[in-house]
Amino acid sequence: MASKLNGVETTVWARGPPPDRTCGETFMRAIYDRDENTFLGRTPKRWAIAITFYLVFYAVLAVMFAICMGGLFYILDDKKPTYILDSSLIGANPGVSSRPQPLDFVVHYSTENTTGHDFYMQDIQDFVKNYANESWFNSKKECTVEDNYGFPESPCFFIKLNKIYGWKPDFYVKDFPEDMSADLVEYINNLQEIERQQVWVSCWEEHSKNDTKIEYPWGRGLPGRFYPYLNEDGYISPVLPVKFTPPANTLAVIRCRAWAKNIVYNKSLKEPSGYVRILLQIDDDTAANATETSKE
Amino acid sequence: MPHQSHRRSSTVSIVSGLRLSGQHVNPEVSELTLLKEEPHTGDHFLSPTQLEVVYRTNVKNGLTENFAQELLLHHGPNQLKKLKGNSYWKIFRHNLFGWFQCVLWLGALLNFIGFFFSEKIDSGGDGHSGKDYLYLGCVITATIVGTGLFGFYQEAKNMAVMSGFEKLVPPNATVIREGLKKVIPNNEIVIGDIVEMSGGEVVPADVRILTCNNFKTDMSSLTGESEPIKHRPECTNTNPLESKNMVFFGCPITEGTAKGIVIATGELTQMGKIAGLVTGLEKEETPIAKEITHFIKLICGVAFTFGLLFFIMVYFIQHSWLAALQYMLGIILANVPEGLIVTLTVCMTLSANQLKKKNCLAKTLQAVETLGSTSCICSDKTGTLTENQMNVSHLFCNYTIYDKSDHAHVSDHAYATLSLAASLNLKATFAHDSMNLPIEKRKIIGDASESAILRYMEINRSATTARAENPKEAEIPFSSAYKYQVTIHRMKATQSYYLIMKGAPEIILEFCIKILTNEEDQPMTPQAKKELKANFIKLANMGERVIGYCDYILSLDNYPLGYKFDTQLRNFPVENLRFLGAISMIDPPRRDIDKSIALCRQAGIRVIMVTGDHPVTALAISKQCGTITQPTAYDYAFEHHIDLSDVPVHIKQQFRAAVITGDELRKMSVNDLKSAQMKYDEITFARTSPQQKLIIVETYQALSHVVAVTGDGVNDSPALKKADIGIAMGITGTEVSKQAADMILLDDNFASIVLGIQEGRRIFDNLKKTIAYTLTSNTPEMLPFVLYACLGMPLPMTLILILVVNVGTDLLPAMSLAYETSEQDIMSIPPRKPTDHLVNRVLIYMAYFQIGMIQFFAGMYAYFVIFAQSGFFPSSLIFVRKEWESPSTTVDDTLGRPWYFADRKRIERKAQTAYFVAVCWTQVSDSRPEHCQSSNCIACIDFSALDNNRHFIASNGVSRAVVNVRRLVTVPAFNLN
Repeated sequence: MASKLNGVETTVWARGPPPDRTCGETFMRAIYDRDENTFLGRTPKRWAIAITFYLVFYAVLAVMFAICMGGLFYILDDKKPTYILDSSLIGANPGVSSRPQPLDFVVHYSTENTTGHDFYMQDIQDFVKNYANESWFNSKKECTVEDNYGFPESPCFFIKLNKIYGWKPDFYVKDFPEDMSADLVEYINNLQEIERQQVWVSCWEEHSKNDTKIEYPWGRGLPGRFYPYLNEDGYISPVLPVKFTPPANTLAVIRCRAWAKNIVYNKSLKEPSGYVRILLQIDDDTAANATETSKE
Repeated sequence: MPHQSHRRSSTVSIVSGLRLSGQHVNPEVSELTLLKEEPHTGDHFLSPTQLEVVYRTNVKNGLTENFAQELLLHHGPNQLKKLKGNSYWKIFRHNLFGWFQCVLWLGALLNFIGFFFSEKIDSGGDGHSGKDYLYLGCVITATIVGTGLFGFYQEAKNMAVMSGFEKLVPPNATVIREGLKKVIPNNEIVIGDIVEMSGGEVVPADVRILTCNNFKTDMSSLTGESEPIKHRPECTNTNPLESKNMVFFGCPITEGTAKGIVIATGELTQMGKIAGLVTGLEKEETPIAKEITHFIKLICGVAFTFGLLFFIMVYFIQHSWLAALQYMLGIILANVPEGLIVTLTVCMTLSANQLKKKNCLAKTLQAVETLGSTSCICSDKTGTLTENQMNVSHLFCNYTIYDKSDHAHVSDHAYATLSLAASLNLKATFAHDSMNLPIEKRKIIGDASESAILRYMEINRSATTARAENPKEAEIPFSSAYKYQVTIHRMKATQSYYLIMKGAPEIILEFCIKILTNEEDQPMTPQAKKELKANFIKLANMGERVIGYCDYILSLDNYPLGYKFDTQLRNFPVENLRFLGAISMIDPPRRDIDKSIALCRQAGIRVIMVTGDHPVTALAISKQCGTITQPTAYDYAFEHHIDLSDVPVHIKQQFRAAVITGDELRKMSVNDLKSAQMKYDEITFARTSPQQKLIIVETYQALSHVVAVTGDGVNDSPALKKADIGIAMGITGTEVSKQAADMILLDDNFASIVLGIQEGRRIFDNLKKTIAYTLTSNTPEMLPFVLYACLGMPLPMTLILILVVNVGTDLLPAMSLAYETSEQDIMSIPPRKPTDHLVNRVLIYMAYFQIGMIQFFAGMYAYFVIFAQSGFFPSSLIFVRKEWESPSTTVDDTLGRPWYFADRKRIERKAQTAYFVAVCWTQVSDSRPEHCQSSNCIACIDFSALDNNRHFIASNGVSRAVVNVRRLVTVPAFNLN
């Protein structure tokens, strides 16, 4: 017994030197060892066992994961997010955005070359596809497919508010804030009280050269009847086109602000909120046109 | 003579050639092999006249001053090179630029490259900012430097400044030059000098004795022989170390005077050769260092395999070399366990400190683990297994052998008479300044066996009083010529003279005609004589030195009080004496040493005794200690009363235990020795030289043993240095041995070794757990990149978070695993084989593909929960990378709400946090340190069990799945809070 415990009865310590093999042989042996009948270090039987083990293991793991995910989906409402408004990360302050989206910061095209503005028109087309069945949308005369959305000279930019679940705008009906532009105040004042349930939109040129002609063909507000957004089927958020006619070959920086008492306006460019910035340049020069095409 | 020495050196060179085959033979090594050679000087054969010729000296007048100066210039001063231990630089280098550290350095370098790379190109492709790389690089660097300095501090602290060989050198020596006695500084002695030595000094060089008077030196530092050697001018043995006419550098002279001729000085002395050996020997890598190298190879393999796979994958998906390279870098970095080095160092420090509390000082942190993997202990006998003090072990009288602790027969007539005789016939006395100490600790002036008798008799029979009462009247001192010693005492009780003779028992039996028994004296018949002799042999076979006693009561008629005894004329009888009995002595094994050795053997560790002592004594002590439990050829020879050489070969073959002497060893080739080491379970090596000890250790190492050597003498130091772990004795050990060793037993307690083994094995197991624990987080660190790059999901885990996991949250739980108690059977399983790696495939698979996957799924679940709660259902997260990472686009969630870049980055960070928390939490519940030990997930999986197929998972392992479920369920709760 003693000798057995001593671990020396078997010649376990007395191993011979490692067999002399070349690098290639060792490698081949790692793949298939004839003596031990092993592929990549395991016999077929061991492989089967290992594979079965991992299959079962991962199956169990996947099932557990699936159960957990199932539980998660069971709890989750697929219509209503768990956290809304102020408790959610997206917040209660809807972002303002515009279509078409610029390719790289600036909507830049030339009147001569149709491919430049075709892209943006296509973007608008894609965007308004959802609105095809909306009567209020189809009833409009300007900024429609018929007039090419104003392209190329005076393109329409569709201003919209990002959807925030449960967000209800607090409209400016009277007592307008000081920074609201006079023309908007005048416009609102001209409307009847009942029509003032709108999220107002005003656009101005940032450098206040006022060279760009800004028109609001559909009016100046997003109708309040669309709010709040509760993820109903077929919900379409309202849009408002604004038509810009900038002078040719100059970059127009236009800022469009949405007005509601609960839309926080932060004019900072780093953390923008409550407005969308549109950079628009329409080229009408043959020379400029030439360089543009080469760039494209 | 030249013929013989030539032959020997040739065999040695063959032997060393064999030993060195397969190694690079550079000049330094070959110099080392020279040092490894046995001493083969022929000077001890030569007559003084021959010596005069050889050394060009004059026995009477010595060297001339001029010639001596010339020789001094030629051979250099008679001093030893300073023994250099591990220099601080070496420790520093080892701690900062070891293998593992180098891999980490490489990782840090990759990070810095990544940083500059991404700064320059900034494709922003892989979701890491350049800063992440910089931070990662800095933290890795800080980790290496921090842990390196910590380890350095720990090891440097334990490197007590110890003086080496230089302490052995006497300051001055007396030489005869030009016919005049001179006292010169010892380092000016040259070969050929005639030196005079006397008791209390230290031998100044290797000296061949010309004349001597009762000259004794303590050669224990060279040979391990526990007793002083009495020298003679004649050659007594072919082996110069055993020849009585040779004394060696550094040996203390216990008594007597001698004159001799210096035959070797400085580095050429035996001591110098040992010093050279110790300095020249390089240790092999420690097992744990080997394991860590293996681990690094594995982890690098894994990292690069995954990196390459990923590279290919990304390339096929994104078709960008640059992005693919960046991803690959991320994957490789995710795999580098930055925090592991910290945990490793801390774990080993903890254990080293724990051992230190048990009086076991490890000079290097890795030494503890080495002890755990030890499979063979080569232990010195004297001072390690034994107390290095002769003690009375048996008394023989009345045809009975009494044990020293058997006090039932003290009042018996024979016993009492023997004791009295032994008390009186003693030259040894207690030193005056130590008389107030307890008897065991008193200093005794006298030789070892007399001291033993005095101590024993003082304890049991108050010898001092008896000696004062019965004063010595006359004495014939012991002489090797007649091998007895006679004293005559004036007895107080009878007021008569009493003659006591003591000596070698076979000799004094011849002087006896009567035998003392408890009843009445018996006549000495041949039958009785035979019986007595059988008893003596029995005692001798127990490795004991037997001293016989006989007495003669001098009648008052013939020897009235006041009778003048003349020891020269011998006017008293020294024949027709009465035999009293015998006392036998041995250097006894330490207390409980047998238990420690039994524990070692139970743990599958061979304990081999390697001693310079005589084979019979060595065998006896081996048996008492338990290193030999089976019969040997010696036992057969004893039983059958035959000579050892007469034991038939076929019977010799059957023994499983053996005593191999230095002479036999000298005749064996390395392969013979190997086969002997394999054949015999239990071996005791006797009468071995320091060089042979070294060879024995090397051969065991060649047999894949991890060898621990324990020893205390200078003669052990080469072996101590060469061993995988050298253990020196703190109290009895010489400074040299302490310096050569890796571990010092501060209390000389062999049991500490057993504790050390246990601790070392525990460390190994716990390191396994720690590494497994640390590696598990690699999968959840790596797979997010796969999801990001291949499925285009928002990145669940950033590089910084990986870093936080690796060197932040993982550290403490991983360290807590170092406190795991050992498995119950840790000391009853054999030591791990060299093929049992710290990190093996099983562990890697488990860490990466099992536990890692659990963590990944838990993390992904948390990630999905966060996204889903914010409106991004899993389906909306796939293939969104491009839009997700672009700051100017919005991404719609499942509920149709468009998300700006800043908002979705916020939710991404929240999801990353959730993923991180989930991974951390699963990690922590892997180890669950808040619950006490052995109930945690990693810990309960007994890795050694996996290797040994004992039982797959310890009882608590089953709860892993349960934990997982709970984990998956509780993670949302975590997030909701």
